[in-house]
Amino acid sequence: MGPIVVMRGLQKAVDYYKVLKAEMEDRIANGIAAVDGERYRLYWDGMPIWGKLRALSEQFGRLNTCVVASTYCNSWIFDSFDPSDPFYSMAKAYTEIFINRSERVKEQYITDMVKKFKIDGVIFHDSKTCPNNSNARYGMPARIREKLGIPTLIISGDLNDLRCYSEEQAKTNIEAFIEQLEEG
Amino acid sequence: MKDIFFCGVDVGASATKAVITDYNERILGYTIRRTTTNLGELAQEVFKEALDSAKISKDSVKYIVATGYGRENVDFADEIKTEISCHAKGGRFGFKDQMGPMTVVDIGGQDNKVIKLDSNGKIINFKMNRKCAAGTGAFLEEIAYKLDVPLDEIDELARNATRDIELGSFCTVFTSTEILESIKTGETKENMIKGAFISVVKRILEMETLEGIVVLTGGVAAYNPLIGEILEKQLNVDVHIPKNAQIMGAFGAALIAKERYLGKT
Repeated sequence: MGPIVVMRGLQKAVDYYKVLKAEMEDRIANGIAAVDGERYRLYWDGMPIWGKLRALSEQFGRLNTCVVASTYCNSWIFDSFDPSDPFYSMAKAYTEIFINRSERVKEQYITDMVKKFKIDGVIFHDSKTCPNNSNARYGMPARIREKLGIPTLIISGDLNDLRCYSEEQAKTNIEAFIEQLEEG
Repeated sequence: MKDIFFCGVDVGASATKAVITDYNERILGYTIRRTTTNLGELAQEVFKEALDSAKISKDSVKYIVATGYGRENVDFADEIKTEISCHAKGGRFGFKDQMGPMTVVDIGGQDNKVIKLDSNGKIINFKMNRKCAAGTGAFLEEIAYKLDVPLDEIDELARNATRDIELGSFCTVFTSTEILESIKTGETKENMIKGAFISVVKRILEMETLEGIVVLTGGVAAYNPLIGEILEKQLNVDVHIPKNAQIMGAFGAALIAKERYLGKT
């Protein structure tokens, strides 16, 4: 999601996503999964723990688990932008974005994503310095668990400040979450 | 099947435990040692000591499961499992014939776990504390050190408290400062230790709601059963501390070892 954030509107970003889309379509056509031997599909809510992307990616890979979708990646997509009506469409785009919506709308959004991507479990990253992008604080994990019948997990951390993140505890939490899924 | 045995090794943050069980899930022997810096070597030693305690040979142990934060250092284990799964299994063992949900609370040396199980023993949700040892064994160790009392005497001392004092925080650092304040005003050690126990209970209740039968596992509950009694009063439900609560993680690992062995043979 780097280019859409820092190269928004530039041809370079457009070219990058064309390459990415072609690769994804090729993988779909040839049945190549992101994670070999995928057993579980997870949804990640909240911001990435940027400084630990590789470690988390490798752990999920070892557990044959794929994080197939997340709220935050889509937070940078503004479908409502309309060059013929810039002010109205900007207002619409910024007010309808996930982060600015009510708990009810957020819950429905995550529910739709869980169904669309055939999700087995949801991880909520409770980011210390970004409460607005942390949806674990007002009972959302429990509501999703009860409504959809899938397990949820809360990981405490931060998007940037790794002093707020305990790698060992997060690792154990994720491993235990997969053990919970294995129990069926 | 009579001569096959299983082992669980729990390399925890404060203590390392090994348990040997037989086919009938009876504990034949166990050992508990303080965790050192060489986790692999320590795991070997506790395994050997548990074998000696059970009076069985290494070869008759058919499957070994390692758990705890040092689980990956147990290179002779057949499999590793997290302490969440192992405490759930061990904590539920004595109550598996009872209907209804259950909550297993493990108060460990450096982290707490609240594990909710359905009536079939399946984990439905769990929570571990954040990057902070508040309300764990490390918290009580610090308080005991501050008050200059041996750790193994704090339960008895707390039972002689004359009143319940409320420490404003369960943060180890802030509580230590509060203890200093209390010492100045002449508060008794007994009251301050009980205040620390109340803090541990408050921390658990802050982590998650506890439902159904409540079982406490881990060394803190094993040595300080008063914590269970305080929790019982707060919740108004029976709180159980199994015999050998400190080895419930290793015992759970041994129970999983049996399941895995039988599943594979």
